[in-house]
Amino acid sequence: MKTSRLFGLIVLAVQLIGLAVFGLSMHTMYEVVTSAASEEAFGLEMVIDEAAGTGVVTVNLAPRNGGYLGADMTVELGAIDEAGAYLAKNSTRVYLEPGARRPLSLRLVIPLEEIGELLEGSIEGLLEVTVDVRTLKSLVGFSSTMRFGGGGAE
Amino acid sequence: MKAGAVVSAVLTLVLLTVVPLMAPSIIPPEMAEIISRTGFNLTGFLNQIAMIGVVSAALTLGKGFASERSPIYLLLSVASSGATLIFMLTTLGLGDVGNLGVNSISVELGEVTNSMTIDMSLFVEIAALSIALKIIHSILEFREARAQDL
Repeated sequence: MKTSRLFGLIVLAVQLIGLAVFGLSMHTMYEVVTSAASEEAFGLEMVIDEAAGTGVVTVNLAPRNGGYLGADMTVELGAIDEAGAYLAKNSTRVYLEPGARRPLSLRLVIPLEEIGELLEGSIEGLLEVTVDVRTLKSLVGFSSTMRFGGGGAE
Repeated sequence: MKAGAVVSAVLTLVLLTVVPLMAPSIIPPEMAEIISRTGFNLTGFLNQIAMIGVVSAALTLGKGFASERSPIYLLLSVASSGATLIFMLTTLGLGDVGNLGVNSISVELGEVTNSMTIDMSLFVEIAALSIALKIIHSILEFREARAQDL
């Protein structure tokens, strides 16, 4: 076989592998992100504990990996003041094998005094939720950071 | 060879130039509205793809009319591979070649801001590897064609 012909086959193989990897990783990330964002899988609640002097924001997620590759999912929750500083921050990470569903819960404890100021509007604040999904040993990824509220902080 | 080159050039022109230029009239208005909110310049992106399509079709046609033994054929092959790489970088970078596959989009809906980042740099690397191998392939084909003459 001619060298150029052999090389042509190698090029074709690289292109086909690249295309397959692209399709599989995009499909996996789409499946994980859409499952995490679905109404039945996503829950956000806030409980004020006056005795402890704290407010607890809890995010519940039940992501499912409907793809063919494993995926790492990181969820980060933060409360930000008007200066852009975090009042509180917490994160969790889960590995989802193909077909797996793993419920996860993330709590954010904020001092009651700061919640009061946020609710009264004496300080502007934001609640930030970041969902990061990575697949193929973290070589391909999608990240979404949603900021709710005031709008003053960056 | 010439007929094949013409067919290939026409197909390239239709897929990479005609379809992208027609796409804005096919996309539903609601979808176009969502895309415009992200600040993504869809028309600019599609125009870039269309231009690459014209260049790729011209190179494909040129290759069809050049002899495999001529240095012009090799030059056109390398240029064609370069155009393919630019097409991949443009597509994976959503119109910005310099992104190298890492794209950031921000959408504001009332008091909610959603900043999204998609990392496709792996595919830029695979595309670069594939194009490098394709160029080596073109050189090998050229050398073998010339060796047959001797």
